[in-house]
Amino acid sequence: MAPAVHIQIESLTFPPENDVVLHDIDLTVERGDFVAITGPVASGKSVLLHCITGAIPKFNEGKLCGKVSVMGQDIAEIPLPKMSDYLGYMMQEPQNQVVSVDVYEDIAFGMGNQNVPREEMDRKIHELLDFVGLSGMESRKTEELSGGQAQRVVLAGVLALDAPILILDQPTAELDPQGRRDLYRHLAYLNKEKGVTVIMVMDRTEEVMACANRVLFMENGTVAKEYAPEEFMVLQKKIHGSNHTVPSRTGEVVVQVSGAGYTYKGGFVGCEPLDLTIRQGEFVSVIGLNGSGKTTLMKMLEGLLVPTVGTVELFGQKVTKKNINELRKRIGFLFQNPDFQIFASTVAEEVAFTLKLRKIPEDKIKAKVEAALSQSGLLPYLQEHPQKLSRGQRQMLALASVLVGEPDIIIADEPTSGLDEAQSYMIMDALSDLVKQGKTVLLVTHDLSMARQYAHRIVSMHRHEIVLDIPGTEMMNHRETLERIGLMFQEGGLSV
Amino acid sequence: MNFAERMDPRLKFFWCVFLILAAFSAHTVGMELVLLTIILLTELCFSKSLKKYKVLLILMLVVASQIFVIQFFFCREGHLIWQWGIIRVYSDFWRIALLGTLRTIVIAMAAVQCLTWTSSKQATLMLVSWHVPYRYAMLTGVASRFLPLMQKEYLSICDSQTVRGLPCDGIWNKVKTILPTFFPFLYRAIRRSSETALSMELRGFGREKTRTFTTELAIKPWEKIALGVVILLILLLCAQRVLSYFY
Repeated sequence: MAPAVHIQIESLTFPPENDVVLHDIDLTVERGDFVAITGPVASGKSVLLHCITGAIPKFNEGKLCGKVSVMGQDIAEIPLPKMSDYLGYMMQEPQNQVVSVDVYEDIAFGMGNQNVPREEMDRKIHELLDFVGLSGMESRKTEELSGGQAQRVVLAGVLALDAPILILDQPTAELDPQGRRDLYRHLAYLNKEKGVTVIMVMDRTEEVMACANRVLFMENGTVAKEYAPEEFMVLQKKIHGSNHTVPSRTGEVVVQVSGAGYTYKGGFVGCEPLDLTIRQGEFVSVIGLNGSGKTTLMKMLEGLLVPTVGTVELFGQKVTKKNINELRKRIGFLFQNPDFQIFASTVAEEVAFTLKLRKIPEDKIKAKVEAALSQSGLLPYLQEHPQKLSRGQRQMLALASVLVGEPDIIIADEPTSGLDEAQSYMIMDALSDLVKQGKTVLLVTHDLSMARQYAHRIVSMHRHEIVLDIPGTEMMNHRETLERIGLMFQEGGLSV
Repeated sequence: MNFAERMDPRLKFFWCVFLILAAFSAHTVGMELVLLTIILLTELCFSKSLKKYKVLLILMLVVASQIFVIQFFFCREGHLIWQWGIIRVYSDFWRIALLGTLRTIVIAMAAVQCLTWTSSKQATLMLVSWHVPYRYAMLTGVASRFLPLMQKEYLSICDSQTVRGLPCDGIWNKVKTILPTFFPFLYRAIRRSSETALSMELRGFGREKTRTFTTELAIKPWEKIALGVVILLILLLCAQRVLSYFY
């Protein structure tokens, strides 16, 4: 019986660029395998997946020397739309893959293209909705779906194709612990019970390891090593350790939230009145599921939302429309998606933009930009176009744009979202270094494991309220509460 | 879904064509007002609200002001009522400006009515029934899926640039921030369109000449009669326009 996937790549380039993106790969994935792919930034993980799907060279033109076969068929001979007979592909951002206005239509999309009869389609859609836990949501508008729900709709749409291979590129990048747990449970079931071959670029090691039987480590465009999952876990623990907290040296109060709450137009509560005090030099992590009120709290701190009740004070000054621009000069904001801010045509220009806004002289800008890029490991890319960088590198670029402003507080909203574990540690280490320098970091995340490893304090939000405000070291003492609000799980301990 | 939304999309499309042609054929303010009243009444009858026209009417006020200014200076119909240097104002300027304004409003409202009554799914099925290849017909659905998403994303980009120290509130600030907000939006749109297209192709889009849709158009007998009447009215309007050239 032919293997599920057989890859023999001598080289892959994207002319006119001469850089070899992939090279010397000879890989066989057997039917029923669950392969997790990992590796550093820009090591070629996603490119490899694109080669398996045929997207390279058929969709993204490239010069591929070698051969890729799926289920014994050379993919060079299979038109891209017919690849759906062999594999289903889930990319990182679910919202980009949902193409229909409502859930039912979206799941039906692939079957419609395969000319599946309407009655069969209807039966299958209901089965799949049940499987992914979205029963009763057939007519829900796709624009109203949360990240987790959208990901499940994409999964259902891909499973509807009945393909024997499932390919996933960091599928849980935008999901909270609950969403991640559900997705991995589904993947494990499909792999173990239905014999579906799974190949994925992994984002969260611990969760993937519970399902995978092979781990491929990619480096510089090739598969450098292969590990057994247990072996890889041991290695990871050695590399990353378990605690990265730097000693706390707290100073004056820099953030004071006093009974501040926000209600959106139409009466939807974003945040119930909250009290929160943050001191200089603290690394505080705000955790909670999607929709728990974290983003509303951040927007109040950023001055994007004016509290409907209570007050927010930064550096001892009440935040008002008049002083917010001045206060923002002392705060650095790191967003979940770096692409929302990157607009310049070179890395250097992008970082310099913040300083230009502050009218800092050109000669000083150059030195500061180089220092910030050096700190974030992007100095070699000084004159590169930012859009040529990988997602992880673009996040580091956004961090460099923050660092260059020498802020006193850094507010980071899910800065590791969309990054794999190695990239996430890079960002978190950079934030931790800032705390060592006496800066304050406020991290919003639903990644409990990162929060526990780095934060001095953990503030947990649930249903728009703060339910816990505890030292990071005491997190495990509050396991019951964290389980109740869906951030920890008894079986498998998926998120911690 | 209200009654109008459930109606066959072809009937709604031809109703819209009729209203637009009628707006062009109407020669008097009174006739345009009748058409406007028909649109408002049908809307109230089926949707019970005129809220969706609020933004359009604000936009139309801007257009109307432009039409009045242009007619004030350049209209040469009627008799001269005022002159100052080369500026001459004729008595019919207000009538022609009002007619032009009402005609624009009728055309815009008819189009909005048709668009809001017709779902993207109905539009796709209508185009497919006219033998438009489904690869193109389905683009209406894809567009209606992504437009609200892009709007949300643009607001997030504005927020992101605002906290960097580049406020996006107010018209002047919006002008100043065009590049820092437009480029991220553009890059995101390019990345998204590429990912979406790939995702669609890998789910078999375009593999066969035909595809199965989850529903199909089923025109009711009364809709057939109504459609016949509307098409007849359109033909009469066209005939009247053609004949008016000769007589």
